[in-house]
Amino acid sequence: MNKKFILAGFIILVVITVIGIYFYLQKNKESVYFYKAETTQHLKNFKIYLPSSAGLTTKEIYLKSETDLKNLERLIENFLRELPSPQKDTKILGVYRDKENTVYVDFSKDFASAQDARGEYFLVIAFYKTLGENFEWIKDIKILVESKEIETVAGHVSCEALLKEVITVDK
Amino acid sequence: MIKTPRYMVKKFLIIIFLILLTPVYAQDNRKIFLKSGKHKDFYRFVFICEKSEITNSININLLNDGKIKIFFPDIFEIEYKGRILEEEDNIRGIKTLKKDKVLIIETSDIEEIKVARYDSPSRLVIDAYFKESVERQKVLKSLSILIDPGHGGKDTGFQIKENREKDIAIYIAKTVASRLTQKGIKASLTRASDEDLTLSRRMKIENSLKPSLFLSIHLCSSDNFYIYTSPGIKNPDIMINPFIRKLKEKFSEPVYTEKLPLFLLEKSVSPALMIEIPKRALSDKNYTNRVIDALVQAIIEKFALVEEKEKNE
Repeated sequence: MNKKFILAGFIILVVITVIGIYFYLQKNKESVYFYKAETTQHLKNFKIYLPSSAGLTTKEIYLKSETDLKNLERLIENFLRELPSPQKDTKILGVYRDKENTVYVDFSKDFASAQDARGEYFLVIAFYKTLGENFEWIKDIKILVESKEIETVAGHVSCEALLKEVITVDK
Repeated sequence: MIKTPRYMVKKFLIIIFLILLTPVYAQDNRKIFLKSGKHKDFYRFVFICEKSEITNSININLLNDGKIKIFFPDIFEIEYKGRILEEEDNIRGIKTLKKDKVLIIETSDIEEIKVARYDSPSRLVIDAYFKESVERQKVLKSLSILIDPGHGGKDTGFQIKENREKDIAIYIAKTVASRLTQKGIKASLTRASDEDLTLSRRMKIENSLKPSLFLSIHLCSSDNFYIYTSPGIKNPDIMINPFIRKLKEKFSEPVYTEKLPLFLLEKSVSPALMIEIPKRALSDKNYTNRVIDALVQAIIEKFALVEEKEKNE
């Protein structure tokens, strides 16, 4: 009799444990799914082009998805962070968008620091490609330094001519 | 006072001496000293005369067969290297014929002569240019070069202490232009002072002048030379090789070349190149002057010959 009770009690205990483990796992699984759903909903992948000794390199980053302009500003911040000094110290004074989808990016003067022709060429082209490829709605990009529109960043490259090249090639 | 025979003899001898001395002086007045030298592109003949009237009266003709005919106002003896030129003689292996008032220097490969007269001492200088060098000079004269000193105005370019790229670029551009002008090449600048000049404005100047060569001068942050050309240019080697050779010949720094679609190179209607000079030029004037020498030589000696070859073809 005692043996029967002990066996029944053991079986009940095993069943309760199995049920407990099952519910525990079920609960965890939901949270994993939930986490994944949140990730795909709020993080966005961007491709940054950067000047390098070989020309251009690319880097992928994930940013929390926000408004277009906010995303744009955060992407530019990340772009600047990857540059060598003194361009690395550039501050963004403003990012604007007009009705024609022209983007105005206002930089501090560090962005227009003196550099070689090659360095300037790949800096400007990397900047245009980064913005142009990640935000297809952009129709035109104007670089401002200390709130003034510039023809050239460091005296060798025409920003307007280079933008046309990038836009024509990529869009 | 009674004149003694001895006194008379003395006086007579003095008179005789003076009479004899006069032709000696006269002879010296009729002597012209000749010096000559052979240079890379020309012979130089210098006739040193006693009086400027003589120098100014000498006429020079270049004959069709390349001989030089010199008419003197009178019959003179011509002294060359301590000897008097004979009727048939030679100077530096060149035959000379002298008859009465005429001296003919029997050169054959002379295409052009330049004559100058100077004082102290009074002399006539004839530079007789070889045929080849005259043709080369003609080619050089047909060349025009537009030099673009980078940056300017608010755009200082690279700066080390008080030395700024824009100032060095204009110094190099002005000196190169001046040296080329002396050689007969028409040289212009996009900017001649410290002024803001947009890339578009520089290009407008280039498009209107249509030079044989457009050369944009910059400095770089490294110790290398960089020569940039447009990717669209068909045969860049013809244009850049003279520069590469000259820079490699005169400097130990590496010379890199690259095709880069820079606005000034892409939009230029003429063969265009941009040269970046090592940063050392910012603080070392002697080094900058060596760069100037190399650029001038590259343009004249190499590029001009290429132009000549192209024209002949």
